[in-house]
Amino acid sequence: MEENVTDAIRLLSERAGLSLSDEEIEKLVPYYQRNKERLETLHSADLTHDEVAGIFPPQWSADQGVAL
Amino acid sequence: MSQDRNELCALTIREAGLLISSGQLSPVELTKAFLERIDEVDSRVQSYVTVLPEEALAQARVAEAEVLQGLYRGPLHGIPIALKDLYDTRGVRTTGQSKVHEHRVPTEDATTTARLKEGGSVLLGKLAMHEFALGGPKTSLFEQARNPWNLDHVTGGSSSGSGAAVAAATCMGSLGSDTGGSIRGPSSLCGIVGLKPTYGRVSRYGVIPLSWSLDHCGPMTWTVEDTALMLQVIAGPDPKDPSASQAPVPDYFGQLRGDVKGMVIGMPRHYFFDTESGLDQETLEAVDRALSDLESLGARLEEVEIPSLAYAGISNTVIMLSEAFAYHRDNMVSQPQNFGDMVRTRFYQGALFTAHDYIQAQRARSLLKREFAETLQRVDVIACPTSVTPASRFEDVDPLAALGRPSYSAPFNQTGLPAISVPCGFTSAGLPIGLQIAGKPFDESTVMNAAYAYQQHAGWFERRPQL
Repeated sequence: MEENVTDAIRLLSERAGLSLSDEEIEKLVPYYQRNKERLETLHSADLTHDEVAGIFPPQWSADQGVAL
Repeated sequence: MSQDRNELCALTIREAGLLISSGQLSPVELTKAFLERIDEVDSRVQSYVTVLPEEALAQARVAEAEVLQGLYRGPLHGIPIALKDLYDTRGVRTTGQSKVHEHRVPTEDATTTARLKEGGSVLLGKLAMHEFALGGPKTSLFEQARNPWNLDHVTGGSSSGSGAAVAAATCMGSLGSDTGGSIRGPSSLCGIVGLKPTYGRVSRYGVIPLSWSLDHCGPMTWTVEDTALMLQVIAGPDPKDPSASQAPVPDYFGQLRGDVKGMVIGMPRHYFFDTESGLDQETLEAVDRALSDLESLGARLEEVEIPSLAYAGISNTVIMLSEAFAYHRDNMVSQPQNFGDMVRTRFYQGALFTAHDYIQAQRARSLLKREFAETLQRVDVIACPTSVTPASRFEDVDPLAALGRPSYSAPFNQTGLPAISVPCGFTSAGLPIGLQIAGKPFDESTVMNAAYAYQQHAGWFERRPQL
């Protein structure tokens, strides 16, 4: 399990252009695992109606300056 | 003389401005008082990374001459301020408190720096911060600021020096930057007022980015009036910043009435008032008392539900760290040794999120915006604690444990809504507690008015740390 985590960190960091030492990867393990747990909440969210792009809803008013 | 000097340094911007405009106070005398106070106390508080005595006195002399000639520029004319070391200052080293930028000297001012200069303010120096506005209280360059209420405790971050310097009365006002709470957190922990304006209200041009879509610039001061006066000078459109809004800038100070009669205050208790998720009990009690005070002044309290707050913490982490890594990536690859341990560990985490994570976080952000917009059709403002806990001791800072705590400030970075922190009491150990009030987009006036009404009623600003 631990090996899978370090492999994942190595793969992702290399893909990002980083050359991390074994020690640096070990240091990241608890952070990676904690973030992975937190990401489960995010990925389980029902976001069917939510887009990435900025949206100007029909009730947008110029008085507001920008749409929410 | 020492008593006179400390009395001068305890003036608010508003009070000093009135004295300067009427010729009763010399900007040079005021600036000298602050430079002397920096000399006396900052070796302990460690809020300044650069002090500019000659430049400040030269600016003060110009301000004095202009006022004497009747060329008064406004409420910041002759007022000594200092800037987080993230704001570009032409000819003055700006490092982001990182060895990466140890010798970086900008050739241009940030738009906000330029506007403060045009307003006639006097720049005393540059202030400490968490490295690149993220790392934590250990950086690769300079010492970290200490909390003036108890020097063994942190100030909060990332605008640590700004919070410490205003609280220690070594400047009259400062600018911080806020990506997940970096203005409001230190304001809360240092017992001062800090405003994160609406996204787009204040230009970000010339401020070293952390996360383009979450970064906000705003004032940190001793009182709400002073925050309004500083915001007035720095707010407005900027052709150099594509995110800066064209929305008109109202008269913020003129709209401070101190009246909350009929104001509806929403309280998302399910998220912001939950001691089981780590909220400090004394903080909860202080904020509840503050809300009762606002009710006694004529506001109406209403409990509201914003279910998507459940995703706010992780979505802010993903967006902030992914964007931060994208911005710093080249330096992370070419000179990782020049980043401090704390910030390097956090930037590395940004490299480990996937595109799927980032997009899902942005979608959750859209949902959060929608739910806040719906809520703000029923209430005028939302109130809650600013910080989960008061200032911790330096040795108790644990970045891993912090990952699991809810953030009370980050939801307002994602929604871009204006949010202020105003002091609302002290713990039994004498550490400050902050009340956070957020409002509708570009409605800083209502947010500041609610904070002003509370400030005037509660009077916490009358208490100063003893240094």
